[in-house]
Amino acid sequence: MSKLMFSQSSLVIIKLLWSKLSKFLTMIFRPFIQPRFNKQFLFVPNFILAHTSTCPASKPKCGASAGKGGTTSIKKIDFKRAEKSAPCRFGFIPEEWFQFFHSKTGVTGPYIFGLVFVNYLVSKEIYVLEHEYYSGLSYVVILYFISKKMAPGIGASLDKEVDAEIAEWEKGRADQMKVFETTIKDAKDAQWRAEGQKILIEAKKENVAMQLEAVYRERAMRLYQMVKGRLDYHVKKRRTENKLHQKWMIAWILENVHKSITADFQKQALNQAIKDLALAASRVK
Amino acid sequence: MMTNLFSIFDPSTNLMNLPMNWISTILGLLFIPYSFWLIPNRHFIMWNFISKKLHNEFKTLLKNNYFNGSTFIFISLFFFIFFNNFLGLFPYIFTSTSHLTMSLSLSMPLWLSFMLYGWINNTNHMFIHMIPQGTPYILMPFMVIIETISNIIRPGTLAVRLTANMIAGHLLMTLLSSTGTNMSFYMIMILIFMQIMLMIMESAVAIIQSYVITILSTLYYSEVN
Repeated sequence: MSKLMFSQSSLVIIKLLWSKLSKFLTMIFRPFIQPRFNKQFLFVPNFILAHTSTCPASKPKCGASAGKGGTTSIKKIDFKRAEKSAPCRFGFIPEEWFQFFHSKTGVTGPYIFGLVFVNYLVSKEIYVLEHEYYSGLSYVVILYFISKKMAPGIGASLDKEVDAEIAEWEKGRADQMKVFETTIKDAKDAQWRAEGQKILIEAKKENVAMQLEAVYRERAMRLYQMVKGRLDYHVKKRRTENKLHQKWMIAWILENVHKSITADFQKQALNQAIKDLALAASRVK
Repeated sequence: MMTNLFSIFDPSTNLMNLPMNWISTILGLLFIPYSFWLIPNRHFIMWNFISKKLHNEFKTLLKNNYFNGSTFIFISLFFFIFFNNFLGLFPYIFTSTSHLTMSLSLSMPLWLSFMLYGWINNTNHMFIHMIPQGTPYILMPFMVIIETISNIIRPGTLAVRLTANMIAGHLLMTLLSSTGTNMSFYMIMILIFMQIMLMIMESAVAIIQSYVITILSTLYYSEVN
């Protein structure tokens, strides 16, 4: 019981000390260390784990690249998928080892080195020629024959499968491209049709404008005729009134004249008229 | 120089008294292909081909007991034992499956788990399956005894079959090759030829033994349910 309590309290003390220590260390090593989580217990040394180009710790932080326009620089994967295995001689010695020797010893260098090394191992009995060696010899012969006779066939059939897989992916890609191309073509078609629609609408607009014009003119004509009719009415009325006035005036004048002609006057006028007529008759003769 | 014919099976590669030869057990892990790229390479396709074939085989055997993923353990068992057997044929690589500790550690837990599951959960079913259909009534007690004994020795047979095959093969190879130390050059050619034959047979045995052990484990599993 007391042991348990002791271990618990020691755990608490250890945790406290560790938190203090980690805070201190974080403060000191902040330029070198990338804190991984919000907890202050875990920190990861930047120079150890950020060595790979794809490690997120080696990406610039958001604030640092604000001046560049806000885009973080993500490195692309430089290497490609290896379609063939690396070149090698004798099936298991890589070609680069021969290049390593080439500048100093030329072409025969690595072979001589191999020979001498094997000679050293065998003659000094560092490599003992015992039962493993002889079974190894037979195995080398087996492997040689397999690699020469059967391996090309197996390799070719496996390559066919790889090519089939590639073809499948390419086919999917090509189909998708075709779909996109048809979509583009259809979209262009639709755009062309839409332009035709514009022309159609222009024609319709003209049509409608013409109709409006015609109706306007018809109404203007009607308006003119109505106004003219009213004005004609007034004119006719005035003329009629004038005629009536004239007629009445003449009648009144005549009436008054008839009234003003006395019997005396009438006699005189008639005598005068006879005289005038006699005179005229005498002149004519 | 061999002190003893069986000294190839002694763990003797030491590093501060720790036997390092058992590391050859996990050598098969290096042969598992990567799936880094979208497009598979030959190695990956080969691996997938074998896995699929095995999967179909086991699925057929499991019949009604099959559920998604029940073949994984058997496929991984196959590859594990296969790599251990096959790589042990190469010189200087220790064959870990030639030790009964290894084979028994594989077969005993499998068998024990199947039996415990079967007997505790499906007791009647297990009792029924002890006697094949159509046996005469007189033979039934004897059948029970025989079936019980055969059931009990199953982990032993699984382990010992594997171990014995591996030991026999390696022993023959070692015996044959150890005569090569004191031979003339022309005799060595004949020796190599005979060893090639033996090697081919041993490779076949390696594959077959791993297949057999896996198939039998599948069968034992399918019997239980």
